[in-house]
Amino acid sequence: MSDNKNNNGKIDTRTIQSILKENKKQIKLGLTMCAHCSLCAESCFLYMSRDLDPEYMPSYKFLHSIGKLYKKKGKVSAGQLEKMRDLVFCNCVLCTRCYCPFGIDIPSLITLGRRVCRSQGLFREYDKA
Amino acid sequence: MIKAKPKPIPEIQNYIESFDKILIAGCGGCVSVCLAGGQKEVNILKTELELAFSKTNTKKEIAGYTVERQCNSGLIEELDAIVTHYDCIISIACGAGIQHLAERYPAIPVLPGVNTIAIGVDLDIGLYEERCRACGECVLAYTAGICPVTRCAKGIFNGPCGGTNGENCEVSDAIDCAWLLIYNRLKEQNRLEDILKIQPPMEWKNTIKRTIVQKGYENRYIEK
Amino acid sequence: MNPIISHIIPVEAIVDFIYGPLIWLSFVIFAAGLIVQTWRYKMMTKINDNPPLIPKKEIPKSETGSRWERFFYKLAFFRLSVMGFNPLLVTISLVFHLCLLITPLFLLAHNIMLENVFGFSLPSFLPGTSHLLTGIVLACGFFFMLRRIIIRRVRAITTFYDYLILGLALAPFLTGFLAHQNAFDCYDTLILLHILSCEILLIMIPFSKFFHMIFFFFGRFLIINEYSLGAPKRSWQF
Repeated sequence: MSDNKNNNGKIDTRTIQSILKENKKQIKLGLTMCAHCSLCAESCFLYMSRDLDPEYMPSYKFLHSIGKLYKKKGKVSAGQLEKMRDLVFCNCVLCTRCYCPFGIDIPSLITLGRRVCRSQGLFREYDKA
Repeated sequence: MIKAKPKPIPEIQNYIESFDKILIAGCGGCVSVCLAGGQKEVNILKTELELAFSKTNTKKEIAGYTVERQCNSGLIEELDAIVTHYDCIISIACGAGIQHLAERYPAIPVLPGVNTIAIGVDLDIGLYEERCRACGECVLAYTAGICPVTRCAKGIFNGPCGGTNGENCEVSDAIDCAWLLIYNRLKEQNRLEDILKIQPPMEWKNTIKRTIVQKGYENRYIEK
Repeated sequence: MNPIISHIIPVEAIVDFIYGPLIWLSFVIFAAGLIVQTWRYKMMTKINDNPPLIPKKEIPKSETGSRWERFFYKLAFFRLSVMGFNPLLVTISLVFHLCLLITPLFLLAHNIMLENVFGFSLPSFLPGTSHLLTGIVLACGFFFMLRRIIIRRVRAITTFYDYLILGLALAPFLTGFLAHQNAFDCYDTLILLHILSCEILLIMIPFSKFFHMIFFFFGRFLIINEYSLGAPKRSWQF
């Protein structure tokens, strides 16, 4: 069982790997089918309201979180994971409205990114101004 | 968003007394934003309960798990494999989330860890105020953006009532008369004629469970 | 050919292989791959258990809207769709993919070969038309490449693999065109490259990003989604 708790900065690679393994098919499908076309960009209200910053593009968010984790087989440093936390929690509100010409379920991939972060005690802290 | 407040620990302690293995289920949605049911609050509640039970030397196995949103069945799926290890679940999501968990896991008691209070706004970190009661028939257009359902104790649509002293509500001097606020703002906007229009009484649809079929999805969910 | 090289590497045998068995092999792998991959993806879905339909009388009339209202809503939806935001890119993509498919199918030389081998053939474009279509494919491909280099948001997610994929998709067209023009007086080399690149392309389609050729229809027409087309009935079950 994976219990999301605070690990005080230490990364538990095995937990990450078990989440990746459990969802391998879905992640692989998303990574294989994404043609890096950027047509998803305009469907993200955050992208539109944040000066068209590519870091808010739905595909960017899943490629650089769960995509990166999958390619690195879960072996990431605490710093890298914190960057991913910012990407999946602060650059996305999971409104689930992303468009994809191929119908890739981007929100659920970002959710997986969040799940990995949560399992390492990394999440959005709303009480930090 | 939806605002909630954690229940007092003794109350929670009271209804989990008979269970040994307890899972606290957090929600990453609204209750996370209002600091009542996110992952941090899961850990806080876990620690608080452990401390409370250690005072009476009771051994309980308490664990926490936070999902993205408890109001979405796809997002609570990850709990499926976890809940089987526990005797009960304390959900600290809003009322909708708690009921959603209870529906999905009918064999396991699902207990509330928060009181869901309102749909409100963030005045500051940790400070929220109610604005909407989800009545389903918005009248803000002619009440100058001030909700008579939420802010008038009687929820009257054609006010004010006779109970106002000219400034406050008869319920308490600390409560503004919503209809005075409406009058003042309409006056500022030069739309005072709006207050004279008699509004038909509300159907109070929020007394029964409502289903929302969104525009464009009629063909999929409504019988032809 | 340098005799020493040909002594170490059996160049002629490789060339014969590319001209002969590999063609058949690539077509077999292509067809089998498409079937297997489609089946594999289908196994990752399930028929969605939709909630029971709500009786019409339970929905107030004011909430369903008139026929016109619904039509205008759909119109607004279209305006705000990807076509409304990126009309140029969507048009170019459509033209590119269409030409990508029809150019090789209705090319005279291909159909003559079909006729020779199987005794039947598809109708063919005039050589001029084929040249034009090939030009369109290459121009669109060039547009995609420029887009990858110039536009910030595309650059942010572009990897080397994307250029490789684009290059692979265009290679048969470029080599075929050059061979037809007998460019650099090396028809033999160009036609060999043409055949080889087609074989690589065919083999790769089912197992790479090229599979979007099938997956597009799969993901948009079969899977329930906000942007799905038609009336899909399935959802993912990984």
